[in-house]
Amino acid sequence: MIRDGLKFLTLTLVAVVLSGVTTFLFRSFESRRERLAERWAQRGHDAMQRGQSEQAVAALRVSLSYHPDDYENQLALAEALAAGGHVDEAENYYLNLWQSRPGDGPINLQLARLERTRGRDQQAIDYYRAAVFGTWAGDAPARRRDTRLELSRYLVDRGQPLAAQAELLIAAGNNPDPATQLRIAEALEAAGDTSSALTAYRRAEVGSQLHTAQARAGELCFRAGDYTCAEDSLEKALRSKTWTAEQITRLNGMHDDAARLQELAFSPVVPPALRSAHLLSDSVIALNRFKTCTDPSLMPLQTRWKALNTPQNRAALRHDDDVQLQYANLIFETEITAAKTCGTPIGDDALLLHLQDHPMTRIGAQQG
Amino acid sequence: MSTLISNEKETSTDSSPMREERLFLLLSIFIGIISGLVVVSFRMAIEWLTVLLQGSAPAPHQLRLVIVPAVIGLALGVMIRYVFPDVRGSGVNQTKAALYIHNGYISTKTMIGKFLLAALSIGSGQSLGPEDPSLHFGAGVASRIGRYMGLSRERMRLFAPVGAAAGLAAAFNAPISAVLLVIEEVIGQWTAAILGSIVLSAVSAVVVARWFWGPQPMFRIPPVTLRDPRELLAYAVLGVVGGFASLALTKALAYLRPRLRSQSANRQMFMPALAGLFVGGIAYFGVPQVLGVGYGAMDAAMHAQYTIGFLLLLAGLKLVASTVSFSSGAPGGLFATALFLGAMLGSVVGTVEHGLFPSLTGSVGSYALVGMGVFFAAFIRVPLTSVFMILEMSGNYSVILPVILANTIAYLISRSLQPVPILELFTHQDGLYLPSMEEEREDSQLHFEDALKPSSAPILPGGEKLNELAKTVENNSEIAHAAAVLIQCSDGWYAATQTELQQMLTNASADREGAGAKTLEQSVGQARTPLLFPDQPLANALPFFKIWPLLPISNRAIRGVIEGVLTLDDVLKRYQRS
Repeated sequence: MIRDGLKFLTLTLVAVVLSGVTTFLFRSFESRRERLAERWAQRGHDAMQRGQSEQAVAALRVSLSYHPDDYENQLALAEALAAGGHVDEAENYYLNLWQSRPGDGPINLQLARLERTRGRDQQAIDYYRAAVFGTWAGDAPARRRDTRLELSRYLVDRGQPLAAQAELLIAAGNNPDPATQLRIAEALEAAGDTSSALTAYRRAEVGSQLHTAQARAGELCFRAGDYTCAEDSLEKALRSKTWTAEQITRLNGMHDDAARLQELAFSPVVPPALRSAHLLSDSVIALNRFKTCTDPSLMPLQTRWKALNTPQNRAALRHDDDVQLQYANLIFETEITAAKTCGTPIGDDALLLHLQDHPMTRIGAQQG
Repeated sequence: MSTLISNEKETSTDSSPMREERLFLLLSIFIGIISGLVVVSFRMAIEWLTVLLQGSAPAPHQLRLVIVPAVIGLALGVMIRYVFPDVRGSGVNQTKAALYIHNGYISTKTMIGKFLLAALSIGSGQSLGPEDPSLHFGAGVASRIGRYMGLSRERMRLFAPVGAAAGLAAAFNAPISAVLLVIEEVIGQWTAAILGSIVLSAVSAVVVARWFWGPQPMFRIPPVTLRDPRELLAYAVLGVVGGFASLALTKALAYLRPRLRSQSANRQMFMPALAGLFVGGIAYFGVPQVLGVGYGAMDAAMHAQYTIGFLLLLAGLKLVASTVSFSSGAPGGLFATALFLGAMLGSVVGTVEHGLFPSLTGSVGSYALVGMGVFFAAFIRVPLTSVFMILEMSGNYSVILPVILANTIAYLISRSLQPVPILELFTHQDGLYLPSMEEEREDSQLHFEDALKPSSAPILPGGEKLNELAKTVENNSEIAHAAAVLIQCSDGWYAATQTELQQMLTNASADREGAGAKTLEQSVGQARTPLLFPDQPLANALPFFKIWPLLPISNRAIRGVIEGVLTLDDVLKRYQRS
């Protein structure tokens, strides 16, 4: 009995000594493994920054072989694979990560981008939406908003502006900072929602974004045919000293055009008396253009100008929409024909052509 | 301590069965703990050597990938030739040989040699795995402890599988699979006598291993799901592919190993170096994933990080590299190779099937995982172990149906096309004829019910007086001509020969000592035929025929009712027929 006890004691001592040796071996290798993982990860990230995706892939693979569960490095490797053109491998890698973290924002976003490059629209949109509602480390609201913006741009590209507008309105409703408001406004403008875009620009008119937002709002108003708004916004924007000479020239030109266009416009928002006056002055401009352009193709228009008999129609022009339309059509046709035969117009003729290009300036058009 | 590491072969003879019975379970725990520590150290040694010898980032076109395996291979050849001749190969057959030939004896020198040379071999890049040597270490630890404790030869033989289970459990980090593999591949049959000890040692070893590594296996297991039963068809395809692929590895090993083993001893010494050069060459020219164990590549395949082309390339090159490494005699095992090839093929099948049927819900990783079990089942020929191995690895019971289906298909294909299992083939190549575990597993033991015949022997009531019996016998020729009769006593049965019956009747007619008034039960004395039931092993009957002419077999539910009788002639005829 005592002999057996002593033998068990010896076995216990052997186990203790062996566990000490094993622990030493294990800890030493674990720390070595950690160091190797960090070193190779750093090399991988450095290579990515230098744009050397192949080296980054190799280094990150080595790092992950020592520390396979490092999420940051897993993502970095997938990004490096995608950047290196290994689209299949990258997709496999992301899909695999996705299986273990289906609600992860960055993984869904990257998968959306990959699907996008492969032209799989619906999958891309699904991944984008999953990314929007996914989990994000750090500033999650900002990342989600950025993803929405990216999604909305993609939706616009794919010809789904209404879906894009819905995404952007949600993004705009989350009280973003002025810089983001500005981006949202631009995206809304691209999605064709002028009214919401203008609202977003107005919200962005704070702090450092003030003049940029004013300029963009002015440009938007100009393109939308709201020349009063355009003149006002551009005038405010031009108070900034930060514009380059080129920008100043462009904004000034647009500002002056907006001011002049207010005198030429005959859209439904212009009061009837003023509209009639504008049509009369515009017809003078068009007639002058007609007279200076002596091309035979303009001859049929001469008969129509004569038939208008302005002195007699002056009263009807104030109240009769048909007469106004007759004038408007003739003014535009003259400018268009003259532009085709006698070259690109300048000055008021060019502005009249600009009005022609904007349906909202036409009589009877719906104001958006 | 000095006694512990001495190389004594003889075991003490003063060990009493009672003492050994007492020590057995406690020693099983010690075997588990020490085996677990040895296996963890072994793995750490391999990891260290891999980084030191191959560098921290093995990549194509690194010259060291060719030089190191070749130079270390040369050192291995010399050491195997002159210092440790018993360490070549995997260790599974050495463990079986220890059990069946050497009474459980594995020398300490062999263990030390196996530890050092297998770590060097795998760490230098030979395309082999650490699991099979771990099994050998466990058996070696058990043998060493058994000798130290002075156990009997019988106990020493029982200890070998106990240690083997501990070593393998630590290597796989999976106790149930290890226990099953030892039963399927080392012992061959379920033996209740040592099952408790095997489980105890395996669990102890895993507890030690998990203290270091945690509960996860050596590679990350992907999430596995089976939502649609129709997907079982897809897994069945994997079973077919795995079955045929395992044949390729078996045939390659069966072809190359005996050819290299038949070389002269001097030439054999250079084989590990040539194998190192070959494997290193594959790594140098672009595929370093074939070096060593390959857990990293298995992990990548299970997480769908490789394209189909690369997976097939890896599978092909690993098959060739492992065949060359193992056949060269470099120490190291094939279990890891089987898992590697299974993971690659599973991933290929999963990717192809996903391409053809995008609606499949099982991930590529789950196919790779099932593929590992499939290849393991078909190559090592342990279907039950492979199922539990995958269950333990994944920790997910939803995978059980695909695993069982695919494993069974692969196992049946392998078995029908390669009748001799690979490990048995190796023992034949080495000139040994150890028991075939596959046959032993399937040996059906005969029971009493297999030889049982309806009782034709006359049954005589024990309460009948001999005087009356004499008249009965006179009137009943059947009793007079029966070779033996059964006497139903109040406390059991007595089988009497005709001679014995006639002797009693003669005594009764002479009325010696009032014998005629005695009942039959009183005349036959105290002895009774043993109480036997139909489900007991037939072999158990043989000793009883020395005393009894026939044996009544009773019904377990209704005591006293005889289901039939056994005679020696019936038993022998039944054995001859089987």
